[in-house]
Amino acid sequence: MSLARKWLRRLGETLGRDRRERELAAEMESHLAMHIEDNLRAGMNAQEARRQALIKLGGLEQTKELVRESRGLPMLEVLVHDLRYGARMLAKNPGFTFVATLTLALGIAANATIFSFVSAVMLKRPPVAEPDQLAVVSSISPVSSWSVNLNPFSAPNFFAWKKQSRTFADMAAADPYASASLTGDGDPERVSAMRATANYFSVLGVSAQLGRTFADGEDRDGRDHEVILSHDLWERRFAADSGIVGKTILLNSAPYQVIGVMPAQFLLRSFPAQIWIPLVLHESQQSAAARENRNLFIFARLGPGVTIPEANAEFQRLAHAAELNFPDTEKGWGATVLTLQDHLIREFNAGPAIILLTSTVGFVLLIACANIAGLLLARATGRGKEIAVRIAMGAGRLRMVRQLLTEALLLAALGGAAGLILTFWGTCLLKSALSFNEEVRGLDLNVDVRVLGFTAGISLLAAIVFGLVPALKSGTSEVSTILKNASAKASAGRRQNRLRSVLVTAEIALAVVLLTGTGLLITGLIEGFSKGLGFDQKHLLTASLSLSDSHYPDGPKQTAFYRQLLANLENLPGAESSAISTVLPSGGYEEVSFRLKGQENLPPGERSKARYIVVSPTFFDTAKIPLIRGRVFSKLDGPGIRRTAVVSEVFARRFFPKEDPLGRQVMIDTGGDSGAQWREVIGIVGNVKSWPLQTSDDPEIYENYLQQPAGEMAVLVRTKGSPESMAPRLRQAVWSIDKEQPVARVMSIEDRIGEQTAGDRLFGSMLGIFAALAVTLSAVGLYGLVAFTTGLRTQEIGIRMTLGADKYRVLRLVLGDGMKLALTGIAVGMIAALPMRRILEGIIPDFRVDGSWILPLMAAVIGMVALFACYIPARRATRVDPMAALRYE
Amino acid sequence: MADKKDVWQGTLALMVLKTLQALGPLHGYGIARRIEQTSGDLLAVNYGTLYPALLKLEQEGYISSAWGTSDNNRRAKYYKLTRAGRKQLDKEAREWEQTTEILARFLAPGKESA
Repeated sequence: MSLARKWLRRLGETLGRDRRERELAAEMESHLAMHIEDNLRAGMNAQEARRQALIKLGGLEQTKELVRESRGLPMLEVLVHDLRYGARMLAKNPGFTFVATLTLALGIAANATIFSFVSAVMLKRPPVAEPDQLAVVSSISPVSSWSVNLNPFSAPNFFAWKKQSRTFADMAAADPYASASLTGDGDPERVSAMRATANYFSVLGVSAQLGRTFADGEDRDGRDHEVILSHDLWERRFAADSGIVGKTILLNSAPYQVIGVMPAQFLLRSFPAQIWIPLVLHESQQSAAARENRNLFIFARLGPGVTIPEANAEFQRLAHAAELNFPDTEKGWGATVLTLQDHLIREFNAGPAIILLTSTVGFVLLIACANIAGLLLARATGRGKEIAVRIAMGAGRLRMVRQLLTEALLLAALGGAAGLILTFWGTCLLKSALSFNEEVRGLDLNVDVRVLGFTAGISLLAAIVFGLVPALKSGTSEVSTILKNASAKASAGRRQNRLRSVLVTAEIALAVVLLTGTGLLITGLIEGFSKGLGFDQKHLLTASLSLSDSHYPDGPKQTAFYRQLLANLENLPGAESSAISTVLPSGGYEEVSFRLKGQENLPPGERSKARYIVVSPTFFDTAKIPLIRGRVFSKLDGPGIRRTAVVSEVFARRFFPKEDPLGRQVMIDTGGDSGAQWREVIGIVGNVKSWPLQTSDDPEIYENYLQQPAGEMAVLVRTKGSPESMAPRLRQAVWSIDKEQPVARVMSIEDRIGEQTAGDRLFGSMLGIFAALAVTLSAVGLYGLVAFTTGLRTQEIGIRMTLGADKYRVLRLVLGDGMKLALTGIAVGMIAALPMRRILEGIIPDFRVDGSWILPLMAAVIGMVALFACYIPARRATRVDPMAALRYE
Repeated sequence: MADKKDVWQGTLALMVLKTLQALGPLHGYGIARRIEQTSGDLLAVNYGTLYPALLKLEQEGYISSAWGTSDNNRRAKYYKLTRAGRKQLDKEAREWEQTTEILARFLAPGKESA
């Protein structure tokens, strides 16, 4: 009770500070006056009376400070006072404040922007009910050719495991890779679709924005012609028609009734879908073909009290049992259970990029902090006297440390605020750059509470990093030495400068390490970009076609369509030649296993694998892939005639190392009857990269579409003029055969490659920006130190010049001092950066760059920058007027 | 170190309260002189401690202050005991007597064995 009253009173005292201060001064004064009067009465003379009274009072200002500290709420008051004082100091040195704030803001913004990305990828939870309880079961392939080994399941496994699983309350299956032709009003369109069992949405715990989701039993034959629209498709294609529910749309020419529209925020990054349709599964299908048809992911809700590791253990057991029961198809296949969030994070596959980007920006912030610590130390040298005076006036040392830390915090707050503004800008920039595919567009990238908290936290951390050393340093300086040695500027400075030198050296070393790392990464990217892809990208228009099963149920119908299309395209004005292929050059890796003569009885798991492309005879001409030996396909190689295949150079070298591949026989596992037929190798063509930035070449095997028909094909048209101008004519060429056939992704192949490599280019340019920032900051740090020490040495330089030192000597002196630091930093950095390539190879699976020249080059670059940073103050030093310098104090 | 200071401050507070009880409203200088005189000049009051102590007593509500005029027509800040202060003085004085009594028993030679 009395304690509360006391604090209340003290809180009151914090107000009206000035009045209290005057009262205290008056009280002390009257005290002193009374004492003097008494002393006079006791017979002292006036001077002695005053002197004795002052001695007795024992330091007027110190008494005042003591009273001040116990008055009001000292913590609060001192803080307010320190803040005011700090703000005054910062306002008095606008140059310092500006440089420090900008440096810090850049460092903080770089970190916060990258964090907003990390947060969007890793911390944002998927838009489902109780995401921690929602699991995705994936299978693990025995041959992992892709960095993310999360694969779908077959339907027989789903049925078996749904029955046997005890850890899940409910399980749904979904095929995320379906698509359908949407026809009706407007151009026919290919939409991505997810086929899902009726309980999919209830397992996820999400409901429709409009209408409803699937009801029980709607995934059975006859009841399955229902569709749910994504918010995006509903807005774009159906003008956000609020009466859409109940209407009928045409999918693959069949009527489907719209039963619902999902909300806009229902986006599952790696499971993008524009429509959801029921998935009809038949438990009776248990053939080997059904087991090999792996296209289902299992979405499951954990039972009460069950954890992910328990579910994971159960499914490993189940997968193992399947291996034993069905060795032909299941051998080597495992299963893994992840939460939906972990699954999405793994699929996003940005781990290496995130590690590299966060460490890069971390380095940048460290360099920024070292810079500001250096600036503060420089200022502390100048403020040594001020601080000594304050200590002599009764301020405690701890109080001074607190004062300096408060100033650092104030600076950090300024930097954090400015950094936050830059972060808003940075995330906007990043968001607009992250638009190159469905998955990154689904990222919810913004400055939210997490990013704000991170920014505040990192600012505080930075303040501690750059504020603590100078603060502790000033707290320990000897008051009397500083006060006595009014002219001890240079020597007092030198001691502080040793610490600054260490900071600058460390900065330069950090910059070398950072520049080497980013240099290696960027070189890797540039090498990837500059390598030829194996075909001519110029003037090549492409489009994707997917013939629906209902219109083109068999091979002959599909072949007839494409034969007609190629004939139409051949007659188009402006087209040089045209072709079709199942996979575009550098458009991806579609794998097939095969057998050579003598390997007929190899089990599927042990067969060799190659990239598989079905093409029209004109493909190699149109893409300008060189024929090396033999011949390419002909229009006459039809069905029923001896089957043929064309292979790439790498294929020929790898699988026929000693013999002539031409005339050899290959059996390609294409499934069905054709899988058991021998193909004769008739030609060898140049290698084409499977992916734009691939460093190695995959073996490739081509077949003729006339012998191996396919419904899904990409169209290639070599144009005389700009590829884009041909786009309408290409669409027309398709629609003149079938006006309900969607023509998707009509774009030049250069644009497609641009989309594929956009992530890598973004990554590379971010690294470049941060590396440039790091180098600039460390150059500024070096410049600041050299300029400052040179300023302190003005007098010394003046003396040297009067004693006959010429300009070059002075230049050498200053340059030498700066470069000594720079070279030490570079040497330390080079040693630290030596294992960089090995580290990067550890982080990025397929990182292969020679780059032994990068380290010396980067060291040289930093050396040049450092030389420049030292040269400016050195130049200034040579212009010192000796007379002025000697008079200067 | 901190403990000693507390004890000293505690006794100082008691002396201040007692002085104010004995002499009525008084200014800081007067309090200091009175304490010194009463102690037979054995104590030298450190003003750097006195003023914070006065402030503390005021914050605790044991004394109150007002500006007034001294005998020599000088403006000075006068401190006087509050009702809470009187109670506190009684309590502290009792405690202090007890303490000294106990200590005296310990320190008086030979009495224990008798």
